[in-house]
Amino acid sequence: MKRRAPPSPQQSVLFVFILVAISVGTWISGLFPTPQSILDRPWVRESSPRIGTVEVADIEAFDVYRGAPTNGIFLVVSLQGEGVPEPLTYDAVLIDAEGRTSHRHHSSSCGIQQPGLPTPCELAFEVDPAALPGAQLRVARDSVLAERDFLAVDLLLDDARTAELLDDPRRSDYFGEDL
Amino acid sequence: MRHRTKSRGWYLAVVPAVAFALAASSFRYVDVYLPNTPSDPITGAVGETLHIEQTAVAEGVENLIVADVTLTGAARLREEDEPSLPAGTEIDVIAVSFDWAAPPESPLRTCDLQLVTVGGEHYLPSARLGSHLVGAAPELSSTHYCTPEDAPGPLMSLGVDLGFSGYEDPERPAEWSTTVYFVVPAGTRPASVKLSWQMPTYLEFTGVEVSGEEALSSLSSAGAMNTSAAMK
Repeated sequence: MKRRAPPSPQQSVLFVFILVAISVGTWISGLFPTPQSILDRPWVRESSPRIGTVEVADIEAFDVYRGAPTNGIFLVVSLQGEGVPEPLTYDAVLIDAEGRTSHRHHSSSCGIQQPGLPTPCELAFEVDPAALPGAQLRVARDSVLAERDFLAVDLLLDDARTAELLDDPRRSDYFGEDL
Repeated sequence: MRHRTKSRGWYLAVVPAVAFALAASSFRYVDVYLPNTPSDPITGAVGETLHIEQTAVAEGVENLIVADVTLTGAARLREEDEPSLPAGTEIDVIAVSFDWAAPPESPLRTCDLQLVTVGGEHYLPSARLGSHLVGAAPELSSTHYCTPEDAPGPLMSLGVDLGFSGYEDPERPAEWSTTVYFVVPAGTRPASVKLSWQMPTYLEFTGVEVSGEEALSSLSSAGAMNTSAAMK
């Protein structure tokens, strides 16, 4: 019976090379997130550096907003931005207590926010006043239609605060002056 | 022996295979990322004339953008001429002046400008603040950053007739000047100005420094309002 020859030095080197290559490849592929780890990632993040810090400065209710009447109520949210990384504007949707989505009314506007230069940002939502307690605001950068990241803001509207808002709604004309 | 030579050939084939794999997987970087981000700067200092010659594609139609642009200087607007922001933020207005030379058919109307500060922050021209700027002079609301207001020349062709073709602006002069205003927080020091029409090419003027304080009227006579009356 012929005895198998021991591996040549070249074969040994090749064997070690393959082992090292497999180890390095495994290590590199481990650095990339797997599809499952992306799915398992927490969806809600603490903050988004691309949007800066957004504060709800004021909430008001309008019967007539910039000349537009409604059968419901206009909830007008004033946002104040701070620490924006570059020129941007805010857009938002309002999710009412029944889970319905309202996009901002076209008459409301949010100015360009630039580093150190906050400008008025007023977003109006036409909503059903009965579904206001528990409403949430989702604030996105530039456009809610184009952006997938948003800040989820609890507007802290309980029954008492909603009743207070709806008690004496304001009315404004096309130019924003009180009627 | 022959067998061994053949195997070595396969090892060598790994090199072009890896190169092809890298090239094939980088198409998103080359075809999507680079053409849609400011990745092609043309850089020069204040006072230097920068030449741009870019084929900008709009809706599949090619437009040739040609211009020679010189950033001639930057000045701070004097306090009496400054508008204000509703929040009462302390601001400075920086006026940046340009000299232009371009053929009349070059579509230069829709340019984008950004002022970059020493700290790396970007600011848009004051007109972008719109009605949020209180008490702003008409010069600060003008969106004609790059062309004379009364003879801006052609828009980029989209290959469709939008019904404007019957209306002809007067022909743009061969040379003109513009002044663009930027609202920045008080005390901000500019560093550079970026100017573009379509990604990825942009002009970058470096070494921008505020030379002093100017009255709006003196800037107007030097070229603000950007009318062809202020032509060189």
